[in-house]
Amino acid sequence: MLARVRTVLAPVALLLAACPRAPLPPDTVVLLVETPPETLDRRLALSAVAENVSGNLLEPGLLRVGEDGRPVPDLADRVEQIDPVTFHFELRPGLRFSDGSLLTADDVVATFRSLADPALASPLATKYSEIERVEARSDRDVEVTLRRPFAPFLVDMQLGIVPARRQAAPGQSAFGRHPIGAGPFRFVSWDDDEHLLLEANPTYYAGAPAIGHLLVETVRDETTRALELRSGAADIAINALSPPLLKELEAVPSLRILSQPGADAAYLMFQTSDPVLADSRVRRAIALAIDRAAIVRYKFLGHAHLADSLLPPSNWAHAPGLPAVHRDLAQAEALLDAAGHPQPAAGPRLRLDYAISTDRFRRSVAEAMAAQLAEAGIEVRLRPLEFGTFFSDVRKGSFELASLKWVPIVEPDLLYWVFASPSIPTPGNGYAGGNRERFRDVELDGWLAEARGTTDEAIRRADYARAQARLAQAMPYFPLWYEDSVAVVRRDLEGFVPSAFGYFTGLAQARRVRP
Amino acid sequence: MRFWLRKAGGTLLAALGATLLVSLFLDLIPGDPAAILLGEQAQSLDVAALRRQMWLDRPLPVQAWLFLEELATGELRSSVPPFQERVWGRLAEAVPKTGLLALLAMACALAIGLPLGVLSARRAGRAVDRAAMGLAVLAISAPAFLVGQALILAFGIRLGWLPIAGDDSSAAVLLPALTLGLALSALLSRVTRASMLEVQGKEWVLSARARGLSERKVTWRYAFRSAAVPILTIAGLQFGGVLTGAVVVEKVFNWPGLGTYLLTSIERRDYNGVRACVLVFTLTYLAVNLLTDAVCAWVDPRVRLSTKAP
Repeated sequence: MLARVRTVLAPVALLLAACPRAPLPPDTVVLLVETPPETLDRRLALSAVAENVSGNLLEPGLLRVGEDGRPVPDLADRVEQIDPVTFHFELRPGLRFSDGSLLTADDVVATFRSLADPALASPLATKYSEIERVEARSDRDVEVTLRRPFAPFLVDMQLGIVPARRQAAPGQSAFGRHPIGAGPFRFVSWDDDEHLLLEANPTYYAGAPAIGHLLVETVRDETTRALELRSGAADIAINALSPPLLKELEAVPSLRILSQPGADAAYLMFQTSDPVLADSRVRRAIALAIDRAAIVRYKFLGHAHLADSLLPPSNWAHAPGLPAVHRDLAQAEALLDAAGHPQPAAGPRLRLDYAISTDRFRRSVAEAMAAQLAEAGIEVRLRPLEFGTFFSDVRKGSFELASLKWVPIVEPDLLYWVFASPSIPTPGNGYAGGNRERFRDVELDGWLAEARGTTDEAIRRADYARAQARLAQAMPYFPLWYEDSVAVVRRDLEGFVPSAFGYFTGLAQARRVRP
Repeated sequence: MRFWLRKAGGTLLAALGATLLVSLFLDLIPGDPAAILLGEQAQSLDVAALRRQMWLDRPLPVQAWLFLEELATGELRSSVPPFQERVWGRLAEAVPKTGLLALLAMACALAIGLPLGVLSARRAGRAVDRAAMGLAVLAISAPAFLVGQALILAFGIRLGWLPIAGDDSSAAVLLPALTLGLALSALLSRVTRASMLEVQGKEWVLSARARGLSERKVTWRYAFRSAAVPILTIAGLQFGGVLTGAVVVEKVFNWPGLGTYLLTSIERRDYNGVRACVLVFTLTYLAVNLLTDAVCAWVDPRVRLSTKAP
């Protein structure tokens, strides 16, 4: 009998021995994320979390993005434009990687060259193809030459710089699991997907952060994330909880909710090639029938701000004085009458399909909008689709109404991708183009093309102002709201500054205070 | 010997079938995974290159074959960029975690379900029986995510006795195991009750009782042992349920096991990860069924391992 018990217990004991992980250092701050990063190599990152951890915590680039969307110095402390296609970057003196080795212009050159290397197979290769060459002029001087004048490239200079010798090493594919950068934090361990441990980098040019260790912990379930914060098992979550749960956490004394206007813009998109929606009066009528203020108040519980453009007000290119759209059912109905959609004796004036994702919160918002539109005689059939199908339909332009959000909006050249006619997706260009609403406006095309071809900010600002005014009038998109950037932080973690973009950068300034 | 050979052959075929089926289902999912991964600003050039890297340009059977071939050589990696993660490495981390969770859940289910079922059978029709069976129906019906969160609230937050999620301490496995085990214990208690009632009046039980053996001995040595075969069979069959339940429970408790790996793979559209997880689930299920047959034969000598019908 005893022998039998032993046979049964042996594997259990073995499994138990494999179980608990090493205890965390006592100075560890726990950051909760929804999904694990797929890599820590900024050159290979695709998901927001991978970009955020690799780019903002481990491997900074020459420049980073300021809160207004303008590029500001990071590893390079000086940028000079020599001619329309040539830029000169000067690195800060005495830069070091987290392993103590020097960071020089050669590392910068190697990083940008590696993007085009088929062996690395970076998904960013095409994005950076506007760069013709990158050359080192001295240890601290780098010259970048573009194929043609292209203003948005400065924002792309956030690309994380990695050591040249690590790129040449045979085990280069392992870099994403054991990265070396010059950021505020450095890599310690990544034993399983859910637990990534970082520590303060003593060689960081701005000084090591006060947080000794940072654990990036993946918790997939939203409620569990909220409970971990509540119980004290975790210290901070950035844009990882929906408004209904935020409301619950507001009442917890050990937590603070830091909410600030964000740079994510949610929108309602109209298929302008559809015979009904081609009429801008119909589009405007739909916009007028939606009570956005009520949705922001009751669905977002105040954690959003009404939008008047795709560019958030914090962005340098946001046009001031755009017309505000408020709910006006009478005017909406008058516009529908004028557009040839009178109220019939029975049934709705219009029937439209509205494609959305299956996300629970997004669906509830769409249901509210459908109810509001019904009051103006517009019957909206919600079509919640699994994200793969939804995104595939949206990319091909097969929808009547669709909602998504742009996250986060940094470079105003996004307007070219979304509204210029060369960006209309077709089978010919492999559906690579963001103008899914198939909007065409020759004048708008001209302004948006001019704005990307010059680095003169005054010209760009004027072009974007004209473009935003035109878009507010023609309304191929109805910009709904900017969703707040919300961090839930334990009270003993002070000094964290939330970013409009949801970046993790503020963790470098945070410190733990003992109560 | 012949019995085991045939079983092994069947298992191999089932594994092959599962791999092909999963590949087929993955192929049926609408939307281009390469385009979704590259996100908004992908150019057609990048999408085509990524499709090639993800084997998406190959026919379905070739994809499944490449998967099995690389799996066999140990070289299999995740099928999404940056294509670095070794599938074997991930399985080596995740399988023991889910194994521990499933075994403890099973132990939990047996520890609660069997005594409860026996008790119900002995007190059939009385208040204890009715209360136990009422609870069982409740436990079978309540979804795991609800039970899990209720347990977190009770033991993790209110009482503060156990960690609410993760695998930082040895105690962290208890709540997920209990969540997973509760529904199964309810089912087992019902089966145990029915099975015990059936053998209660059998001759050997009556004769044992007539010989003046203690009631405990009669119940456990004579009645329970002959009632055990259906119970064990159900427990074995339900092991598959434990594995699928683990996917939900692991998500709620952030337990880094096979279920978590499967969910991550689905989210990332890492088809190799999905195929590998399903393969492990299939093989485990088959192995447990085989084991159940063997254990039944050991417990009840009337059961013979044979592929021929009696």
